[in-house]
Amino acid sequence: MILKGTPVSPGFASGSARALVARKLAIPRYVVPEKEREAEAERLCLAIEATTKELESAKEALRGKVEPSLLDLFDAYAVILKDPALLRAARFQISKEGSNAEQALESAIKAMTTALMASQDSYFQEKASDLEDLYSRVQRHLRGAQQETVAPSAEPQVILADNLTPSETGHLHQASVVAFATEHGARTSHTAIIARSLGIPAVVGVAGLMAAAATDQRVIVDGVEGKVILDPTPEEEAEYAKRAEAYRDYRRKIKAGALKEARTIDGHVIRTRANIDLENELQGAIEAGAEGVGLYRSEFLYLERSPNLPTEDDHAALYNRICEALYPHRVTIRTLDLGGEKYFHEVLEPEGQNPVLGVRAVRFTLRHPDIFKVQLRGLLRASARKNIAIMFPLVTTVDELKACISLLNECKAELKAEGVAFDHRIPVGIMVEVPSCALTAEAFLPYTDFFSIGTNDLIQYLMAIDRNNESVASLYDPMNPAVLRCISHVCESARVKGIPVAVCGEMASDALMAPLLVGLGVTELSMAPEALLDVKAAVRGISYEKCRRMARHALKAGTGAEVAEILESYSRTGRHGR
Amino acid sequence: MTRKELVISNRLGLHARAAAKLVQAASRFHAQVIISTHQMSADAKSILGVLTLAASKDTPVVLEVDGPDEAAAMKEIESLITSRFGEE
Repeated sequence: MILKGTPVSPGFASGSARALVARKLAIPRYVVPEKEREAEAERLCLAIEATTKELESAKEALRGKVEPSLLDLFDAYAVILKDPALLRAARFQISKEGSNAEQALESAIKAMTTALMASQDSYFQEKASDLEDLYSRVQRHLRGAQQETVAPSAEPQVILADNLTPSETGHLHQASVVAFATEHGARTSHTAIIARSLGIPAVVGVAGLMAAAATDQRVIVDGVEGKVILDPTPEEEAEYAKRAEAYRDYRRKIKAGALKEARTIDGHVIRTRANIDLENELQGAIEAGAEGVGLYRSEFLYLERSPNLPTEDDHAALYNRICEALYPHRVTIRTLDLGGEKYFHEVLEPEGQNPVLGVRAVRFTLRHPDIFKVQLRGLLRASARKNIAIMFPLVTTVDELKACISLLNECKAELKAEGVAFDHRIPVGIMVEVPSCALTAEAFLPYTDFFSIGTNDLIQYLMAIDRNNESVASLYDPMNPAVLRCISHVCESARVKGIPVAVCGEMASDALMAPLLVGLGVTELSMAPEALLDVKAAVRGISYEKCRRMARHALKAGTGAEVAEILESYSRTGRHGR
Repeated sequence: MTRKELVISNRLGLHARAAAKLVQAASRFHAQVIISTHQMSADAKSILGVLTLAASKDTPVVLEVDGPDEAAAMKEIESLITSRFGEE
């Protein structure tokens, strides 16, 4: 049986299925005789104890392998599990009403969740769905049901799940796990992020997966076309064994070329850089041949320091380490792009209904120069090596850019007076992600040293969709001609002054789209480090002249489907040629 | 029993992280720790209880600590609150 989903991590693998069934356990309800109530309460305590231990070991298994913020989650769980009020409420229900432990736990947790949600505290509100995970774990222990762990095995195993919660990700570090597939989830889910960092194939959003799959069944995961094949035929097994081998071969070949630059057949060179959120991704980026960082998202520093704000020293120290690691390559750091998110709701500014269209990024930082200048001064202090560039997100009007620059100039004057060394000509650029900015790109030319097109937001704003709303997700189409025409306009404008144009959205990490972007006039592609090999290979396999033709052709198309056809036809006619 | 009046002075008040720190500190001691605002009292070892106090910045609170190690417990919790839970 073949099921379709969204491929989120490339590769092919086959193995024996481990179905992690998140069964909604039915809650038994019965009255416990009075003399057994003490023991019943003890049973609940033991289940909570067992859950605490299980979470502790899951946390330890993940330490050093995932973002520290995921680990924080486990601490929040532990505090809740140990809550004496929770235990008291459950014990009370057992001893006074004779409820069985499962029932007592259910109502105590419900009361807890309700209270936390009502606490107006976004830290817990955000984690409401994780509380559900916590609760079902204790219920499972009460039932004596073992957690469905993945024992190390000589045999390759494929993890199948409804959706993987952070606490389940501990399973995935067994060497025998070769792939995974989930019924729910999107490209940005934990599942996807972890699969890519482990370099194993994954498919998410596979409708009907859990109903069809059973543990020990043979399963093939196709992380390229987004297929999950249950009980494959011998022919399918043979076919995929061949593909897996060919894919490994291909990886080896392009890996060998990782450090060569992305030069088209006819000698046109495209800069390929990495998008980075965390410092520990730097090494991977360097190994994958990134020529610097095209987008460093500085938000994590803020989230890490939350509820405090990072200090100027925090900023300077972090940026210094990154710039030193990548020297002499350029590091482009995007200034704070938060504002709509809950963190800032809570900390600084209650926000309106639609944060995507509200006060975020420079709209936020320009209103809070006290916060903004701390980051700008930190950036300047890390610039003495002259390999750092500043990029302002979500710039909508020229006036906003001018305001950003004038704050930067204030900071420069202050540092100069203080005798601090910095790059007086530090490059300053803008993220082009608002249609108004893209369509008037030429008006920004006097004030900017480069453009970097953030296609994710640009597409969202062009198509008038909320990326987090699944019902309009199908309208999110990078191939829509409106998107291509915007990109083309930015490139044409940049050509006048001869400044670089980068693309740092998802589009840049798509090996199929990269030649089109090159043809539209983009000079730099910045992407997740793991996409570098493929994208570089795609650029090396084509001529600039052919990219130009493809782009001219695509710009005339009226629909996204037509553009897809055009790309398809160009990649068919001589994938490696001309 | 020892009793002390203090003021919550960190910018965010007894929000999740500060509350978690308070609960973790109180839980290290045998003594019972009760924290009260003008409106209500809560067991300082219960995250739920502490959060429902919803004590924002500048809220006066009363700490009542009762048990064999009450002096040490009071000292530790007092310093946590007066140091603004390590926030700046």
